[in-house]
Amino acid sequence: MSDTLAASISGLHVRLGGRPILKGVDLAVGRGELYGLLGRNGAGKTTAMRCLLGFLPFQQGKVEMFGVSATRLSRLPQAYGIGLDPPGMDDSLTLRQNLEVACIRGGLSRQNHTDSQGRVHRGVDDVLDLVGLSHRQHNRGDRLSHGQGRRAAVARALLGAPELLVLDEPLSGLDPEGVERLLDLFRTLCQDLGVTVILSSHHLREVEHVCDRVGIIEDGETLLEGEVASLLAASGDRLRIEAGQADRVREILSSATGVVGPPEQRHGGFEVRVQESFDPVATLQKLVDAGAEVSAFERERASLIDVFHQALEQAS
Amino acid sequence: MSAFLRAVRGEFYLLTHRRSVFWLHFGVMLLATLFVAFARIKLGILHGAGGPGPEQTGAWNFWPQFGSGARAGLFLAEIGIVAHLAGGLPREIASGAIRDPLSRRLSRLHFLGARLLVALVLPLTLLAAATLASAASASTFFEAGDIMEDGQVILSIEDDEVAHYLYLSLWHAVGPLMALGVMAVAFGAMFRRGAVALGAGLTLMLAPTLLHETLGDRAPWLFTDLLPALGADSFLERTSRFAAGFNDAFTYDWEESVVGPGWYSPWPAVLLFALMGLFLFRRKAL
Repeated sequence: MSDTLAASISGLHVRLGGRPILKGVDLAVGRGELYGLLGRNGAGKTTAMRCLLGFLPFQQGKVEMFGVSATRLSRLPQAYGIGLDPPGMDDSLTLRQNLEVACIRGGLSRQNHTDSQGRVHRGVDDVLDLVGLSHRQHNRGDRLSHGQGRRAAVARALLGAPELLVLDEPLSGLDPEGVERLLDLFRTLCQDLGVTVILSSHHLREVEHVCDRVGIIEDGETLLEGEVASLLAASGDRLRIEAGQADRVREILSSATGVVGPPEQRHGGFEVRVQESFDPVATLQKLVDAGAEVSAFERERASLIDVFHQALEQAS
Repeated sequence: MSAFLRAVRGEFYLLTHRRSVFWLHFGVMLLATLFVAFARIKLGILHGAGGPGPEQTGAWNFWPQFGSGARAGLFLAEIGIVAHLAGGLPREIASGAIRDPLSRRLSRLHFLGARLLVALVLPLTLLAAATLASAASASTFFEAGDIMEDGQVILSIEDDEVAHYLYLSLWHAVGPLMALGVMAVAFGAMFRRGAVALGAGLTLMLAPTLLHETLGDRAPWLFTDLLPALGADSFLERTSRFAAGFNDAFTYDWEESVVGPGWYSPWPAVLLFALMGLFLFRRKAL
């Protein structure tokens, strides 16, 4: 199994200063996947990433990258790139110098080249171009904006030919164009080059569109993990109805096939989750026959935001 | 290329590209130069007011000014070493700047070992900067003959080994300065805040001066006692005074009890602080 996994965390427990931070995190990221790590602020995403990268000692659990324990990553044959929060740019150096010193430390060429196995190794100019920071290459670290700092960290992670990228909030502070650019880049890296990308984010709409799988962490525990498409399908669609005769509407919805849970009154109407087996035409007909004076009947596809909120609600 | 060599190359890249390192060297050279230049101006003013002129006072000579100028530059160098190495590392850790090198198949031991190596080199480049600037400045403003007072030779450069002792005192500074650099890295690795690391470094630097009476004969076994600028038993300070004509500036007893141990005492400190830096690193801060 570990041959197919780029990263795996099981039963991870971390205590810092006597306080439990992680209380059972389990994640499995397959090779070539674009994996979204989701959770509220303080849920434990960054701590889990720091453990995965071998930066933080943990009390219990198993953490591996490409089958190698996180405590021995300096022996890992595969290259990986990181972009954690804060981005970790050396403010006394220019952006270009930051990338050059990363190349030196990694034993990487500063120029683009292709190795004997045909893999393209990206040099300094290439990664600056990929994240759109070529025009800022001579700015010192402290002269970069928050968003530019994030992009700079991604650029540094992309140097060489990493097989795995671990990125903490790479989209935070970026303008819409920057978000789109990075997500396109991540998608291309995964699809065309087989690079595995693990990213934590609060941009759930964007994560939904690009990630293959997601894991949701809450209060130091994994609440949910799975393929985005499956989670959305399991979550069900949202049905919104505006109609008179509230009692009759509630009764019809509660008895309809494919409705999950009781209808909730919101914004002057009803909202209810429905599954694939739900028959909207039949339900609407029943409501009309009952004289419910339907003024709105909308079925919306479930989003990752819905999945996220449902997971949190179930946990609480 | 081995992991340690990559780490070392990275550290030397930082050493040669960081502006703070450039400005520290520039400051040390400027201070050494200005100190000698002001000494020349002061002597000129005194001479103009009827005081002693060239060949009438020992201070009007290249050799004592060379020693004093180098020592002036080293005041800034010693504080700069601690500020740069001890104060800088906690800031790098807090900003996450050392996470990237640790993700490039370098272990913490590789990284810190390379940083400790730079901590041995930086004091040497600063010592060279102070020495060269002082030599250039002193040779511009003063003649390098025998030390004279009231027209009489009181110290012969050849016979009294003035130059030999000045050069020897500069060599003697190498060990304490290197130990200072390693101590600064160790404190930077151990303390969360740069200000605390800097404070600890400065405290240890000034301890022999503040506790000189208490330490007594044991003071030279604490390497900071022998620092060329801030050390209470600076060999360079004594040789500079000796070169200025104070031929009682150091005695055979002092040379034997202070200079002698000083050749060896910094090296156990280098080893101790290197081990502290390597093994007391605050891993949780990463």
